[in-house]
Order: sequence, then structure tokens, then C-alpha cells
Amino acid sequence: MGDDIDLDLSFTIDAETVSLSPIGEYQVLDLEGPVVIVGDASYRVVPVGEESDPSEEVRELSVDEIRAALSELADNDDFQSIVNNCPTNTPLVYDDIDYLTRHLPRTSLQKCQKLSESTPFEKEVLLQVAYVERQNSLIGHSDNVLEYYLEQRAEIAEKLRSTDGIDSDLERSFFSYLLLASALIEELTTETVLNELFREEARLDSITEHVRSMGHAKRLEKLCDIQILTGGDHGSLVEVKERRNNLVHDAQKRAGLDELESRREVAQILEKTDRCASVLLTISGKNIESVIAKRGCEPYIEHAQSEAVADTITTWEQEYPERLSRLQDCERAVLEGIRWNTEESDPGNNITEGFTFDGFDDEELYEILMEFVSDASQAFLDRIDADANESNLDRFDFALMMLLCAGHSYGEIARWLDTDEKYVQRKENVIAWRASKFEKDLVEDIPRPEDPAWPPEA
Amino acid sequence: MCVNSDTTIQEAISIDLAMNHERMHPRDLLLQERLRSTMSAKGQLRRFENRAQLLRHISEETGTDIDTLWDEYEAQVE
Repeated sequence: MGDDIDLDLSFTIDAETVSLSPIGEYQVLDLEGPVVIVGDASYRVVPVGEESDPSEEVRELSVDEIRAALSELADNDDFQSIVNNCPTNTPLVYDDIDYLTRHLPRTSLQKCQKLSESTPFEKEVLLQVAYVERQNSLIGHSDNVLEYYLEQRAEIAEKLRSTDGIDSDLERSFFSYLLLASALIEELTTETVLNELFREEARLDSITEHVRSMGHAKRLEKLCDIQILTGGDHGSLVEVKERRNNLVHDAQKRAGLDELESRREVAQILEKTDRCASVLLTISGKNIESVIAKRGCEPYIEHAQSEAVADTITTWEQEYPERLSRLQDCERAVLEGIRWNTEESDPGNNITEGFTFDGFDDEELYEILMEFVSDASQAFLDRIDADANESNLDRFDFALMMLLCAGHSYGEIARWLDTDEKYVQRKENVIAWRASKFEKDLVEDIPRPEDPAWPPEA
Repeated sequence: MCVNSDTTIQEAISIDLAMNHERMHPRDLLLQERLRSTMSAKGQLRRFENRAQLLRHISEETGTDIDTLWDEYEAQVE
């Protein structure tokens, strides 16, 4: 059946701004110490406290020997068991080993001691290797799925726009899209259940296995029970799950796209499924940067934009020195003081401080300024990303705190963070005392729950 | 024999370059680098989201100026 409607697809997940941290190209640099570059991100060990005594035994190992021993560790069940029991992050102020030895179950520590006797590694080194293994697998997995998802979404969107009916090619593409969307949603659902139901200190391997064995429907139900997921979103997610199961288990339905008869209907399902994936990306804390950028509290925005401008100046000093000089030489500009409003859609109206526009008509300089602000906007999102990772709160709670501190209503926060108003209220009860010095330094005051919050009478 | 830490870093970089066409999983590199770091200091693994964030941090931590760090970065990165 042919149709010649012009399709204007509107997706919720913005491929340009969503935080992607897939496992990427790696390189090792020596910049006053080792730095590992993975994709756009880099890792470095930051000292905490006094230096400890180096291990002479480990120091004698060559890189090749370390590499060989590590590949043996990768296949070792005891080592994998230690990895599975490691936390996904440790508080900023503690040394990793001090924290890990308190966190891990006794059996894991005993395995570590035993492994230390049969390998060239000290038990402390084994623990840190296991911790990094755990952290890296967490960072990479669902982000890789997200990357594939976005590619597949772009592919089917293009096919939908360029054909005038549903053919077998489109059916195959839709099926692939649905499988990737389901995989992404399931992965993020599991991560969110773990985040919400099991606090860090309780999140051991057996708990993770328990959550995985619950089944996707049960996990969604739990998220709805605790109201991080609204009833409406829960219903939509169940629909995605049912559609996916129908197409996987029934070849006839798969061939007919489960009775979708027009490109318009396919497009609507795509948009709806994408909206579902977006909800999970938000409540799992994977995609909270842009909402903090737009709605975060003023002291934090000031901090993050100030750091972003400094990062951008650092980059421009090296990459665009002439253009930077032109901006710095302009009497209208106070470059370090440039700030912008992220809610405005027109970049020309964005700049709120740091530049005097009255009577300004230098088009060339204006373009340079806009490029600078565009780069600074990206650095701003990077800074929010880094702060959310450093926080003692999980990423979603970090976002919720930033919005609560800005004085928004429960209803607004719930709408912007794709959650239920009740969930926002419940979090307000705990965020003030769970926040560490790091978060408290970023915002002036964290609101405390005051006055009763009864629902409106029916 | 005690291996100088600068030497081992250079060895790692050489191996890294030599393995250009035989990529290791980034995990293994992280593990390896993490190992070396833990040999001399207690600490926390930090993640930086872009080059400027990283180099500004290293500059503040070590006192090395950013121009030098930037040149070093450019020289070493493929």
C-alpha cells in the first residue's frame, strides 16, 4: 500500500546533546604521570592523602609481564567474583582501597588474599584492578547500545522519509530498531532498579543477579510502585515490551509489522518508543545534563559556566589564538565574564553578561563570539557531566537536587525529569542530609522539607 | 632491579603505538595504567570529559603550564 504523506518525525532523544560514553579508541599518554584516553574522556589517578610505600615486588614487573598476568586474571573466576561485588563508584574523599576493604564481602576479600598468593600481585593492587574493571564495564555498556540505537533510528527515519509505502526493507529496519530500543530500555531499567532499590552498600553481586532474574515486567512494576516512573510512562513501556515480544515470537506479525498499515503509523510508534527510551535515559541519570543546564540553580550555573568559559579559553588559546585575540582585544568583551541563558533558542539573545551589544555592528566579530559561546555551551554540558560523576549522590538525585535548589515547584521538576511529583517530594526528604560537602559547595542552600504536602482533595 | 617509572611509561606508550593495528580492549589499558599509578600513590580514579578539563587539572596539580602540557598531549596523541 502506498502513501505520499510528508513525514516530519520528531524524536525526544536529541542525538546532538545526549551524553554518549561508549567504549572508544584508547591511548596511553604520559602527562606528568599516566593518563588513559578513551574516546573523548580521559582517566587519571588523583592522589588522596599521603603517598604510600611502593611495592618493590610489583615495581620489578615489566609492562609485558603485567599485561600477561592481567590476561590470566580476566579468565579467573575468583577475580571475576571480586569484580562483580565491587561498587560502581567510591566517595570522593576516601582512598579507593580503604573504602573497598570495608565494602566487599568477607568471601571476596578472602579470594583476593588467596589470589595474591598465586599471582604476582599484591592484594591491594588486585582490588583496584577489580574496581576499575567494574567501573569501566558500567560506563561502557548501555552507552554502546545507545549509540547503536541512535544509528538505527536515523536509518529507519531516513527510510521512512524516502519511501512511499511499507516494504520488506522497512519491516526489517523497524524490527532491528525495536530490538535495539528494547535492549536499551531493559538495560537502563535494570540499572535504575539497582540504583533505586539497593543503596550502594547493599549492591553486591547476589543483589544484581536478583534484579536481573526479576524479569523486565517486574522491574518496570517496581519502578512504578516507587513512583520514579509515572503510571502513564509505565503503560507505554509495557506496550513497547508487548510489541517487541509479538514481533519476536510471531513471524506472521513480524512480516506485517503487527498490523501497522501506513508510514504514519510506523512513525508514530517510532516517536512513542523513542519517548520511552528517553524517559529511562533521564531517570537512570544518563541524560540529565541539558535539564540541569536549563533549570539548575543560579549558584551552580554560575560555577559551571565559569569553569566552561575557562575550559574554552584554554582550548582557544591553543587552537584559535588569533580569533581569541580579537575577542580579547574588543573593549566590549570581558571574556571570562561571559554568561548565557540556555533557555533562549536564538543564540544572539543568549548572552546575558560579558559583552555589551549596544550599537554593535561588527558582523565578523559577532560570528567569532557566537562560535566561542557555542564551544562554551558544549564545555558547560561537559562540566555538568563531570560534576554529576563526582557527586556523592547518584546522577538523577544530583539533577533533582539542582532543580529543587532552584526553587521550582514539585510539578515542574517532575515534568522536566520525567518522573512523578510524589517521587520529587520523597527525595526532598533525604537529599539535604545525604549531600556531601562537594554538593553543598556547589549550591548555596539545599531546601529542607517544610510544611505538609497533602495531595489535592478529590 | 627497580624499573624507573618514566621508563615503564615510555614502554607502555611504545607498546601502545606498536599495537596500533591490534587493539586491546580499553579495559586492559585502564587496568594496566591503574596498576602503575597505584604503585606510587594512594588515590582516586578521576574521569575528565574533555582535554581542557584534564589539562587544567594537571596544571593545577603539578604546576606545569598548560602550553607545555598541550604540546606534550599533541606530541603523544595519534
